[in-house]
Amino acid sequence: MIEGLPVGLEFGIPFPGLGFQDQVIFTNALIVMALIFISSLFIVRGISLKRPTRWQIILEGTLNWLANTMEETIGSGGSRYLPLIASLFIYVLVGNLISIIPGCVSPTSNLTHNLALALIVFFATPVVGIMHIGFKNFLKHRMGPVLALSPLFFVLETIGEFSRPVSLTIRLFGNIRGEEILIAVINKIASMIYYIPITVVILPLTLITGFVQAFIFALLPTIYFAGAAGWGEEEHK
Amino acid sequence: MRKALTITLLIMMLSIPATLTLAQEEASETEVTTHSADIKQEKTTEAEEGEFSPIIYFMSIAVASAFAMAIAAIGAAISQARAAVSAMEAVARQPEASGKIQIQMILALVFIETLAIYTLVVVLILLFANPFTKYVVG
Repeated sequence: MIEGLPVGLEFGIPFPGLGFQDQVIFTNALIVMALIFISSLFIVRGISLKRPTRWQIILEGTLNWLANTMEETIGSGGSRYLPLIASLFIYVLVGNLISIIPGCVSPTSNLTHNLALALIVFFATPVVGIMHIGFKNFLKHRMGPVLALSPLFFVLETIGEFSRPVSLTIRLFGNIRGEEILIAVINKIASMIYYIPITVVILPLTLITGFVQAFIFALLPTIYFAGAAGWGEEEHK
Repeated sequence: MRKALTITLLIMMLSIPATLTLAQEEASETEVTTHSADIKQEKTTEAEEGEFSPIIYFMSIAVASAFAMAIAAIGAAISQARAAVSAMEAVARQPEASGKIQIQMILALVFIETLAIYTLVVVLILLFANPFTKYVVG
C-alpha cells in the first residue's frame, strides 16, 4: 500500500495488533474467501448429472480447461495436482477481480499476501518431488549429471529454487498494484477539471490482466512440480 | 532503431551536466549567502546541510524513474515482439499445434514482462516508499 494514493473507499475490521493497511488487506482476503466458500456451497447444492445448472457448467468448464492446459503443458499425468492448482487459480482470480467492486481492494496488491501464496508453492515443490521419485532420486536430480560438479550444481539449483517465490510474489504484486495506481492516477486527472467516471472505461482492462496473472500464477507451479517430479522427461528422451 | 537509442543516450548524457550545473548554482548561491554572513559558525553548518537541496533530490528521482521505465519498456517491447513473431510463424507453419504454442508463448511473454515489472516495482519504491526521503525533507 502506498500512502497518498487512495485506491477506493478502503475499510477494514479493526483487528488488534495490525496497522490500517494490513487490516484492509486482511478484511478483503476474508471477503474473497467468504465469497468463494458461499458461492461454491450454493453451486454444489443444485448439482446434478442429468440437468446441470448454469453455474455448475461454468465451474466444471473452468476446471476441465485448467486440467487440459496442464496436460498439454507438461504431458500426461500433469493434472494430478489439480486441487491445489485450481484453488490457487480461483483464489487469485477472485482476489484480482474483487477491486471492481467499489470499496474493495485487491488483497493480491500486497507483497506479504503474495509471499504467503508463493511460499505454499515453494514448500509444496520438494514434497511433490520426493513423493513421486523418492528422496534418493530427488537428491540425484538436484546433483546434476556429473558427480564431480555435484556441489556446484546443488548450490545453483537451490539458489534457483529460492528465486522462484520472489519472482512469483513480485510479478503478481507489480501487475495488480501498478494497475491500481494507474486507475487512481487517471481518475485523479479526470476529476481535476470535472468529474468524469472514466474508471468505468478503464476497469474492463483490468479484467484481462487479472485473468492472465491468475492463469500464470496457476501455470508456473505446475511447471515447478513437473520439474521436481520429472514428468514429461521420458517423452523427450 | 540504433538511431533512436543513440539519441536517447545523447539526451541522457546532455541532461546530466545540466542537472549538475543546476546543483552547483544552487550550492554556490547558498555559499554566497553564507559567506556574506559567516560571522557565526552555526550558519556555515546550516549551509553545509543546505547544499543537498530537496528540489535537486526530487528532480533527479523523477528523471531517473522516468528513464528507467522507458528503457525497461524498450527492452520488453523488442523481446516480446520477437517472441510473438516466432510463435506466429510456428502457428502458420503448423496450425494444429496452435494450442500448445499459445501456452508456451504466453509463458515466455510473462517471463519477459516480469523484468519490466521489476523495474516498475523499483520505480514505485523510489517514488512512494523511498527510505532516504526523511533525511532530505527532515
